[in-house]
Amino acid sequence: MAQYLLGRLLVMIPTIFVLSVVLFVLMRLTPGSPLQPIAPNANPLSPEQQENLAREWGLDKPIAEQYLVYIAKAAQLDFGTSYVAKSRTVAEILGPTIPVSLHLGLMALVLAIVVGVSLGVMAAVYQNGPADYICTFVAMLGVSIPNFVMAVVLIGIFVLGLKAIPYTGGWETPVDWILPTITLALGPLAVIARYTRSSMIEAIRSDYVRTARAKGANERRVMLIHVLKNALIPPLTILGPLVAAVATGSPFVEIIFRVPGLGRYFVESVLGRDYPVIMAVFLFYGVFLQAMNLLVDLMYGVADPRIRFGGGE
Amino acid sequence: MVDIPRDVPGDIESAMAGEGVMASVPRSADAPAPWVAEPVVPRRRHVNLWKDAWRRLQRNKLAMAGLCGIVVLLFLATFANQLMPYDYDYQNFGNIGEPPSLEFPLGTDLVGRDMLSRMIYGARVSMSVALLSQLAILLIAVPIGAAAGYYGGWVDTLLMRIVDVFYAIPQLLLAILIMGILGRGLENLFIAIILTSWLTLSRQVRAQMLTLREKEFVKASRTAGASAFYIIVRHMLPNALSPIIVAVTFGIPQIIFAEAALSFIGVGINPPMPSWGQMVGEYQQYLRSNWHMAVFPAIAIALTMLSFTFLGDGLRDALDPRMND
Repeated sequence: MAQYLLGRLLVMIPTIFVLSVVLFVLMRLTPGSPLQPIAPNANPLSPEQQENLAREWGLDKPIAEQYLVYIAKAAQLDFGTSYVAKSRTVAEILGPTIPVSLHLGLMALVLAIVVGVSLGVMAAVYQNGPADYICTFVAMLGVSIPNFVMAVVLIGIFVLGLKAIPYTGGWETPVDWILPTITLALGPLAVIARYTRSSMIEAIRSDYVRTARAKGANERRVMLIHVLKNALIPPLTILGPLVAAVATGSPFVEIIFRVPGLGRYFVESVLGRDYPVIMAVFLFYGVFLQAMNLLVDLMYGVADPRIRFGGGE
Repeated sequence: MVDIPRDVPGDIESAMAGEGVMASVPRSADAPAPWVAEPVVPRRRHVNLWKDAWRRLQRNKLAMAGLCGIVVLLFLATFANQLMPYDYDYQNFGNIGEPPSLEFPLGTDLVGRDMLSRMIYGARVSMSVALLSQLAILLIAVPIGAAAGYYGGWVDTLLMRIVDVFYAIPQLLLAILIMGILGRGLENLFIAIILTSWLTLSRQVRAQMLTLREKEFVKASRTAGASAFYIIVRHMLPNALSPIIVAVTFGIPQIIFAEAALSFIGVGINPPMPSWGQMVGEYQQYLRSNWHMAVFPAIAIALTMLSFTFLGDGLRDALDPRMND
């Protein structure tokens, strides 16, 4: 177990390292100098001013040295100063947005798992019944319709049509949480429902279930004890990709519903070519997703004792 | 994925599934076919894989609906110039922000451009981005994946390490970043999409090659002295064709989604060129006052994605019967 963990960490670190090098080089080589104002009609900075700024930001040094300085500071969570909002550090800008995004993402993930698993189970137990068709339908919609399109449709129905939810946007009251969470949850929900359904069906057809029925166990017991317990293991493996899907979806949802989260600032920083902020966001995503994947794999091992880490009993 | 329940046990499909042998294209003589002959209903003996798949596809109503949707889209995209009532960037200054009417069936936008014309041209943008970049991805990903899967060694190691790094970050976010760096525009959109999408297909082809490499007919061909290139092109790729076709069909809506998503954010196509995603992104702010501006393109994206997903699901079921339980 400890060996497995160490092995995984040994793969994770070079991956993040290479990612950071690629991003760093990519951003330094691209056109558009951070030493000039972004606004189209602003007065350009004089060469002396640019030199001063470059010295302050360390841009006058060779790129390898710049990288080493950056990564050493980043390890201590110092990501430098924003090139756009020149007086604020990256940590100051992104700090407050991360809890908001985590909150939204966590709610969406919980909703997706609870509803997705129940839907998948219902669909498998009552195969070809109404629950199955609803599951198939929701899965189709969730998988194929982008969440920003879904957001427009949901706003159309619940805000403009039924007037069930006031159209405010933002992230102040729990009412603001409803639509973003549903929108963000739909895609992962569909995937979970589909996975759960097919792994349930596989379990229902397995030999041990037939044995359990032959022994005379009642249907309820068979479903809860024998089927569900085994069928929920495969859906667990896709939790990692699902966290990534939620992370990918959040910028769009946050833009439409005006949620002050990390995703929205990421888009703003890309549009403004705010390199320090972009770097920090990408490093955060990279480390976060790798850590989540590792966590999910470990959970998988706990849930299914047949899986042994590190090979051999 | 959605499973279409199959109610005919004991036909060709389950016979194949039982053997676990790849269905082969009719031309290649090396397909181990004799075992098919025995348990099968005689009527079906001479039906080849593609006709068989087509028949199965036709039975799938959703897949056929998807196919119809795609045909309509291709028609709109091809004849966009003839079908558009106005130029996509022609501004009717007397009709700004009009709701749908007889003159403008889908209304006009905030600078007086006809929404219908913009939607039709949007189909062309969307389809050409999707089809052309998917073609490029195919040309890049298949050779690399095939080489990595067949040879193993450093090609394989390199590919898998690249996969590791690329997969550390969600593909779409990477595409956003690339577009942010390159600046918006159709060419850059191609670059960003191809760069971030080829790995998935390459990995799938590699996995196919890894299993095929150990099959008897490949070993036999190698023993007979066939060159690696010949084996890959004549024996292995034809056997990997169905999964590749399915992957490509599912890849197209992914690219349509990526284009719409990038344009939604404002790093996709270059205005005034219309894109459905860009329209949704720009006009979602005015949903309350001008609902039609964002809703119609949103519906178009949804229907397009659904069409391709339906067809992809149907194709997968039709081409690869073993994937059904």
